[in-house]
Amino acid sequence: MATATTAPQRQFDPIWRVRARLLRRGALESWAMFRESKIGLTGLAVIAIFFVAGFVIHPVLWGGPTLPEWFPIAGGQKLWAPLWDGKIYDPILGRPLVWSEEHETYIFTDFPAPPSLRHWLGTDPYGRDILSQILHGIQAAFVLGIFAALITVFIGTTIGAIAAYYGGFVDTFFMRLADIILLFPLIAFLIVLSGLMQMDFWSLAIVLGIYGGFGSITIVLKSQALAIKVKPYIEAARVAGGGHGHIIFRHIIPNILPLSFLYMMFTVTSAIFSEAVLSFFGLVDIKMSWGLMINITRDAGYLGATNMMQFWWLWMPAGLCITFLCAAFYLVGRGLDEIVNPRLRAR
Amino acid sequence: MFKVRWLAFGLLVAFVVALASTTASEVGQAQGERIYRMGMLSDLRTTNTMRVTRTATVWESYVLGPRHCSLFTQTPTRFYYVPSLAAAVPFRPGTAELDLKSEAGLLTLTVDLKRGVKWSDGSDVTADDVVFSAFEAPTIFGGGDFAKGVTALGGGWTFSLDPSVLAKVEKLDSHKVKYSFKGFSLRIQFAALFHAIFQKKYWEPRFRDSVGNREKLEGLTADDEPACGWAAFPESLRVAGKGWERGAFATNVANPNYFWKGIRVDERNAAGKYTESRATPPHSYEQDVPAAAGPELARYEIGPFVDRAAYRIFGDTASAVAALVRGDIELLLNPLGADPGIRAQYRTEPRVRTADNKSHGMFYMAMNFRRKPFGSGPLQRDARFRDDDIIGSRFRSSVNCLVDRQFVTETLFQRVAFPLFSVVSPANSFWFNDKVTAPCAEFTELTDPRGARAKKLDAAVKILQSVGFTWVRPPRADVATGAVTAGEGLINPVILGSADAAAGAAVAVPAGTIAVGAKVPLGTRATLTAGAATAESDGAGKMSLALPTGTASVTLSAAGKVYFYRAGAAADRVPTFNFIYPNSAYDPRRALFGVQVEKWANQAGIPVRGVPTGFNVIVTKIFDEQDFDWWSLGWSLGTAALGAPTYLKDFYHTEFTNVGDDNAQGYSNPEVDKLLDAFLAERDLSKARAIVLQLQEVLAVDAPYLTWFDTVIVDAWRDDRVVFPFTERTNGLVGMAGAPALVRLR
Amino acid sequence: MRRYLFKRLVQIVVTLYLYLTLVFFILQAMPGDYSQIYIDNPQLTREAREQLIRDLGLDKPIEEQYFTYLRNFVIGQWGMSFAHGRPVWDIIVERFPRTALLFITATLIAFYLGFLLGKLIAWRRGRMIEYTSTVVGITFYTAFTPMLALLLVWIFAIQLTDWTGLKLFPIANFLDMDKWQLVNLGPHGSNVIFGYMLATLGALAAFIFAYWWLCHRFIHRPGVRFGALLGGYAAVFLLAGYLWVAVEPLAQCWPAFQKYGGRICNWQLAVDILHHMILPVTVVTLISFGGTMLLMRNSMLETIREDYIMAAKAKGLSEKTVRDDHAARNALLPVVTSFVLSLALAIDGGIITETLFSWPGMGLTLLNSVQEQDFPLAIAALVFTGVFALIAHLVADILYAYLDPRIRYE
Repeated sequence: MATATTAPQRQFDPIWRVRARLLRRGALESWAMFRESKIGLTGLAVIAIFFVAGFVIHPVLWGGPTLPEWFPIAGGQKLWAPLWDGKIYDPILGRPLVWSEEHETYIFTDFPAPPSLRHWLGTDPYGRDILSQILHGIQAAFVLGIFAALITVFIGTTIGAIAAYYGGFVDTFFMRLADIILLFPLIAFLIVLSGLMQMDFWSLAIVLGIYGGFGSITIVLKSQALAIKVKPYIEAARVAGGGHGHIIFRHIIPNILPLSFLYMMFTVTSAIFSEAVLSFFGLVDIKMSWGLMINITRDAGYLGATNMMQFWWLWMPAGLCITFLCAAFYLVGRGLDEIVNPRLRAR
Repeated sequence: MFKVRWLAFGLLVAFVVALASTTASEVGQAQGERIYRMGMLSDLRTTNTMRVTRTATVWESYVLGPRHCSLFTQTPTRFYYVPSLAAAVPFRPGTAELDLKSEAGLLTLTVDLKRGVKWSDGSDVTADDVVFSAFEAPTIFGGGDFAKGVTALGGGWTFSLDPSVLAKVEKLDSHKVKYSFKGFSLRIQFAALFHAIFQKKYWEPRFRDSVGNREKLEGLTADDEPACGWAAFPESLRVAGKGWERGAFATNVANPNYFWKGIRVDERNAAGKYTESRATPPHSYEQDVPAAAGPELARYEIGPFVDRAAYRIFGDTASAVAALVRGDIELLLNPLGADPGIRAQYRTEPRVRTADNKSHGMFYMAMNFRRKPFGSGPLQRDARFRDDDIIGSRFRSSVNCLVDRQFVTETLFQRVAFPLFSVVSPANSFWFNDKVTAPCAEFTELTDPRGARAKKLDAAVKILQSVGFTWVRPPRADVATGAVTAGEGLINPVILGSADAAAGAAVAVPAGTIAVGAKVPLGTRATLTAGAATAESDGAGKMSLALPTGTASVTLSAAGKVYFYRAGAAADRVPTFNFIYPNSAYDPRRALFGVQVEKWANQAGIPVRGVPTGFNVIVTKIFDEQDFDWWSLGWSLGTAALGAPTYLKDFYHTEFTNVGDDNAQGYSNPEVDKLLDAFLAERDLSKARAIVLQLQEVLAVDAPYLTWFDTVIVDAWRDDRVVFPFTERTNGLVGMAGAPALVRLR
Repeated sequence: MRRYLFKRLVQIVVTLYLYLTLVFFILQAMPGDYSQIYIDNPQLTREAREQLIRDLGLDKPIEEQYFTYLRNFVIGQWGMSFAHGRPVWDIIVERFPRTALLFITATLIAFYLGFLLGKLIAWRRGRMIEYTSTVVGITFYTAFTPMLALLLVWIFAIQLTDWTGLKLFPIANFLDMDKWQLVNLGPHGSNVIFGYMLATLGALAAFIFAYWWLCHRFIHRPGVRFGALLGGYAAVFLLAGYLWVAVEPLAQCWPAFQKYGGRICNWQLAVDILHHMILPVTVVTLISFGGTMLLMRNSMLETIREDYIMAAKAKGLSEKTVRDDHAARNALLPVVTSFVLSLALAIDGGIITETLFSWPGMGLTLLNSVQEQDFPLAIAALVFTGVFALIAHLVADILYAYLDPRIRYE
């Protein structure tokens, strides 16, 4: 599509502008179609809420980024003042303190405390603010999910394109590999892996990203890339002297990228869920996350059948956050599926 | 068709409901049989005694423990040594010292056995069984070589029948055996004489069949092994049932030939004696026992008063706790202690009663002595003590001073733990030195939330300054207002030189000195004076002070050695280092404590960075790679060690600093080594105790471990179903496997 | 057909080989690699450590280790478990039936429910019921499993007990200790009952499938067919019941405590196990029906566009007949494949359920083995899961080939 239409216009418009225009048009078309999907929109709305909570409200409460020491004005200070006192609201080091006017000092309060005006979602088994932990967890979940998904997309598109372009042994190898990955027991594998190596936040994201990248995404993207490989402009590019790399990265990959974003959504879901499960079993070295919040609750004995409802605020917010954010990305993926997969389009 | 499918689904649901209601049991239904049900948190791995004697999990010891007896045992509340299979403890008359005799270069001990003790199959327990268990079995296994056999059997065998101590065991007559030892070691008491006794008739052919082949021996099914303890598996007693239903439960059935049944025990009566008595068949015994602090003394009758003890296996704590609250089990065997949430669950059910008991263990942090400034540099076996150890000692003291144990255990932990200052737990009351404390322990945020932090920081800074530590930006602590400003960039001092000092003689100070340290032999008290400033020696004979400006000489009140320090240059700055502590998933308490310590140390300008780490990784790094700066772990010491704390040698003796050994921190102090050796060779308990008390003092100030806390064991049981003769004891009812031989069902 | 199967078989063998190789090299690539963890066991003495190095062949070059690893896999020498001190294979054989029974049952129910709902929402595309079912299904599908499981326990085992005063549902384990107290099933214990139950389940499933197929093939009048189906099913269930209560060794009885009437038979033990399965099965059903439902919906939507559906509608057949007899049956194909695959991955998803319900199957074994540093067992459990999945994959392919009339393989 791209090259075929640009050739006669070359003297008028630089190629990037044409590409940008095409991209914009494609995006608008997709958006128009996506808007049709109610479940997709529902998912998107939920993601937006989480995003605002984690990346807008949280910084407001916590104060702006700290300026570097050398900065002429207000060096070493936060860009704007935090609304929350770190001594109380820190998700890891916070303590259930109350300023006592009478004693002119902080005094300890009981914990875990149910929701109150001071702690909107109560405090955890160690007296730390649950809302602060939840907001911290949003950032962790987004960063983990998106980072893993980007790795997946990068690996998946590259391998899909290469497998389609070269075919033969390369193709067979990667398709068999994808078969294995499809059948690979992910959670079991991650649990075994966590026993063998120090599994922290980033290594988990990388493992999940690689796992996703070699999985079903390659099969789907390969078939898509196969369809593109036989398009006339690919032949034209080859005749014009384009190398293998040029064709793969300039022509095939841009065309299969939209589809890969669909799979990105499913990777985000699986990444967030896997992290939560591993943290729930206490197998990841992570300072705070939703899964870990539930793990701490469970270890402290507040997740027993007889008292879990009495201490609902310790686990329910985190559990619902995991469920809703996973569901939201999944719904968006479903919504995108309806666009990308023509056989599912409404008549 | 469509409706039929939904109908099928409806039928399934109806089936489930019917199933549930027909098999439902009423809450609180009375028991037809006398069965005592306990909950366990993990499955067994084996029911073969020979595997368990090598390495046992706590769960196996709960289930298989009741099968065995030993020559001697400890009383449940005060841990006195009393005879079990033996007729009496062979003390030298009027003392608490074993009656060892010298014979042909060996120390021998003759032990008489009780008469009338029978195995569950009806045969007598005789000297043959004792000799077999303590000597013949390993000899057979080693192909005729006792030492080789013990090594091949490994684990608990090498510990209790250490061939370097135990020479042989012989039968003198059917109820008399003679132990011969190569030398004296306190371990004899805990090991050889407490070794489990197995039936020779049952085990001898099995040992002969599997000479040298541990896998074969341990792979045998031994569910029908006869017992001399209170219970055995149904297979052994030939009654209905299965001892171990894998993944579901285990069952012990009361031994009809149990010798101790019906005996009344008084752990210490008004006359200061331990007594046992029974009318039929007649039995009585008494023994002098020392008075010691501890829980109320127990009087009880030995059972069992139940027909069966069943152990239900759970996959996680939460469902086990719920089962107890629901009344599906009578007692939960939970050796891990109960967190506040679990207590909250117990409180929801008034029929559940709980008891808090101290456990015997310790949670601690330690530093790598091979690295600066934590210790004395790389360990050299030939030069065991390095001159600059005063710097390391002061550094550790300053960190020790910053740690606020009372505050953490009382507030953040909500009293599921108690502060620990000594390397011996207060649970071990006879050996515990209650005068030992940590530096600055008098300041705590618990009683002084406003000022304690500043006072602790101020004291810690002074300790560091006394050996010449400096900072890029020193921390500031205003004791009056409680304001604290964190410091940055701790700089190591440099040793200018050292000099021998005669008692009371002035020693000239080289130019550039900012601090002076001194060391006198252990046990000597001395004062270091520099102008107006003075420093007293601590329990380890070390002292140090910041030199007042313009002082030209210092005086040491006793003969010793004096060291001079100057401020370090920028290159001596302490680089950022790691503190590995268990992650909050493995142990949330230590993770939280670790984070606090990291923060407190950072305030003092110590550039430490916390690394929460999984248990497996920590253990590998500490004990197998010795690659760490600071670390935190815990020891669970069990009741077998309630007695002389012989483990101190493993933790602090220079001998145990190799890769894989327990002194992973590399603490090496020849004076402590000498004390440890003297303690283990001491036959007189009161003298041994004096050495242990002194050791605790030295170790508290020299701080090879910075002990943090110990946990509380929480027993929980259904008060409407079971009643125990006592519930107050170190390590709790859980520590005696739920006391199935003493419990009575309501 | 035969050629196709042969080709698939070869492919599976190649994939299996790749899988084993992948696992081997992942383990080798670990920092400090896993064999180091064997050797670094602090409980080992120095001699034992050296012996272990020789036993594991770690003193040999890597390619030799690799071939030893492959050979040991083929001859079934999967190593000794650290923690249990017995062959890993024994432990897997002991734990697998428990997982199999639980998850086959749960997956069957989940797929049936998902099939019914998926069919419904595809047919009613665009209506409220589609959105509701989709969102509810996805929410359950992505629900944080521990939370869901605990909520169910709370509702059914705690609240219901409070209201009714009866313990309707057990909260943990797979059997009631008191009932089994005097039972002795020999060395395999409760696995004997699991074996009987699995055999019954398999036989029933095979019969129902075959009988259904035969009835549809040879009986064309709906009324008669319905009667024949109902009669056949009733007969086979009665037969199974008869076998359990009257024919040895299935009907063996044991002594029991007085409160259970002094006697308990195998069928009652099986009912006890079923009783303990209710809550975990419900959890697995709830979390997995959503996936099937959406798959069925998509598959239905694709089928509906096929010409023969149009033709059937044009013929004037009732909407229900078209939906149930034409569209749904063809749309079922990918769902059947997915069913077999999800059985294979049951061990994976089972880790959470088994842990929370103290169900000592493969999942709990894997988790515990990692927590106990028992890597021979952990790795064997992982490999076993993968191999089981691959075999299931092959079965799914064969089923697909037989079931789908449109597929004609060259």
